[in-house]
Amino acid sequence: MSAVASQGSPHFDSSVDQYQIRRDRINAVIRYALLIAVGLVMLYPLIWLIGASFKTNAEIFTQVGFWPSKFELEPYVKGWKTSTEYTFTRYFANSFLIVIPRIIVTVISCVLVAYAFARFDFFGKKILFAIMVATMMLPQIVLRIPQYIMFQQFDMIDSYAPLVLPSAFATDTFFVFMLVQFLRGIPRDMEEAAQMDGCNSLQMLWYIIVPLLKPAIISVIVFQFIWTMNDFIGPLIYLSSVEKYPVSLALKLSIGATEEVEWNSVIAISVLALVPSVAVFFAAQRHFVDGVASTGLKG
Amino acid sequence: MASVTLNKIAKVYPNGFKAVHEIDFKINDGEFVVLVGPSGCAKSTLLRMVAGLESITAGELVIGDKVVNRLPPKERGAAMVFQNYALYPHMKVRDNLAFGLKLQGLPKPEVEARVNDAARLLEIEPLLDRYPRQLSGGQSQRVAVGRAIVKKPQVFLFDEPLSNLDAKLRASMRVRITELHQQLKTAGQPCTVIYVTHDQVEAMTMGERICVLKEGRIQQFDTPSMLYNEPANTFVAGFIGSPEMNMLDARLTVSDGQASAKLLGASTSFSWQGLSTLTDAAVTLGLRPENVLVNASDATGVMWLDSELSHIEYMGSEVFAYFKVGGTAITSRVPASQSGALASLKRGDRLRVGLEISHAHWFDAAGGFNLKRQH
Repeated sequence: MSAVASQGSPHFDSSVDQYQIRRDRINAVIRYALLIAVGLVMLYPLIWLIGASFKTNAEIFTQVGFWPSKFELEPYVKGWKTSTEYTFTRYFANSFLIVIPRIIVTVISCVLVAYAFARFDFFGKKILFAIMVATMMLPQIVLRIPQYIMFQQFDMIDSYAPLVLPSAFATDTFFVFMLVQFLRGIPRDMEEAAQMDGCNSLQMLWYIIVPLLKPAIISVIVFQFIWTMNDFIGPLIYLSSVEKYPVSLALKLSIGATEEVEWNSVIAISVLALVPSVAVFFAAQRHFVDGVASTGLKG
Repeated sequence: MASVTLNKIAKVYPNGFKAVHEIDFKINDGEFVVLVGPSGCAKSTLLRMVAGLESITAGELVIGDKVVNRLPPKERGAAMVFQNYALYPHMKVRDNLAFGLKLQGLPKPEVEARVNDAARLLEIEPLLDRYPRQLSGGQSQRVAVGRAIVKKPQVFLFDEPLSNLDAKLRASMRVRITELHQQLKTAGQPCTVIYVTHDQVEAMTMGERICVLKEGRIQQFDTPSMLYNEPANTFVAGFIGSPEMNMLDARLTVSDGQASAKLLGASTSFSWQGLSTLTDAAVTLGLRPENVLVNASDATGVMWLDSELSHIEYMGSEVFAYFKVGGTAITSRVPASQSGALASLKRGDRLRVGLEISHAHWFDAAGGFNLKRQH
């Protein structure tokens, strides 16, 4: 803007430029100061948590600041060992044994169902879609008891099946909904071209739709990873043997195990429990934001 | 490599709207046919029905000697170029071209050879390893054509392929596609082409024959010169040619090879070839702008009228002049070298214009059909 303007009358415009630059700078300073302040307020619990994980048990309750007087690695070592017969290595492995299969079946089932809803005409499609969306409004608690009884009859209690199997039938309707919305935004021309090229429906899904859906699929993976990693009530209900506990349950275990709670160890393991989710988020951030933005949904 | 025959093809949408009304025509083997018409004339629908992307409600579609109504697109032997190219964004140009061939299960060397041949023909060899987003509009367009060529289809279908290009590129691509059709013919790989456009210039310059459509009905299916010189009705007459043909209300009396017409408050008589006998019938007189003279000449059969100039457009080699005779607008198209007095005239100036009645087209006022053609 200034480049064009200054061609006309340099005398007048240079003063305007000066004024403009100054104002822009002040605006920027205020904007960043505000953003940083709000950001810090929101991040403070996390910062405190990381700081506290290096403190001694006594220091946590006596010192106000989040900066530890001495960086102790002992809480991490102690916490990792746990008071049970297994270390957190086992619990993390358990978590991944739930999360990874669940993500795989979720992506496969949800993409298939979304593809059907977005691209095919079949009898009762509108009603079925409405019912599916309506189940999103249903609180999970309502489903717990019937589901528990069902899995008990299948003899699947105290295994990972009740935690993974429902996702294989596209019951995570939020993801189906998200993928359908995303698919509706993709023009059909490419699929028509593929049809002319001789694709059948499944080839079309694999060669054309899935690559185009990539950002949305990555969003599904990130959401499902974080939600499943953090899920507490599901494993609590279905798992009874300690050797099968995921991280979320094992954390609770380390609080209740002894009379005197080693808060610094609990906090240290909490910090470690956050790492996978945060890592997955940052690894997928570019695509993830893309996916959320283009579905018009907020995460 | 195959003829395309439409036998009473119709399309009715589930909501009851009839988009295509019993269309009948035959496109010969290796012919370049253009479907043209204004928006909503069902030209694209018709093309998509031939492609197999749209179902056929009634009638019979024959490609080669096979009825293909119920066959899926890939078994019809047709390849299509889409308006917005529809290249696969996640594949390189090479893979875009090869995709259909790989699905057919052709051996790798064959696929490669075909892709390279097409790339050479369309001069897109340097682009083979790029992604569609790295291509310009013209390049994408060529890749889209390439994707059709590699399949060596029996029929090429083009759905307004040039409408997303700028005017200059469009003109050059027009020539390229026509040349390509000739090239393939001389190379012993002749292909039947059905080309859809709303642009009458594209239609006139590219088509060996043109099918003019309106509201799902064929208006005229003929060669470009026949469309221009003997339009079947007022719609075709108005649609083909630029600026548009002048349409004037007139009354016509015909008997024994002699005719007399009254229009714009004047009358004229001339000789008439044709069988009909008319008495003071309401007709529409169609006169191309190049048959409206602005320079006095002694040519016979010209009807001179007083007019008022309203506007002049300079097109370089030509001048378009817009007049008013009484309350009726008349357009004239004159070569710039013969524009003579026009240059010095202003809006509102008076001038005598000559209507070359011998070149006029006569249409029935109510039905719009051409009185001199069989109907």
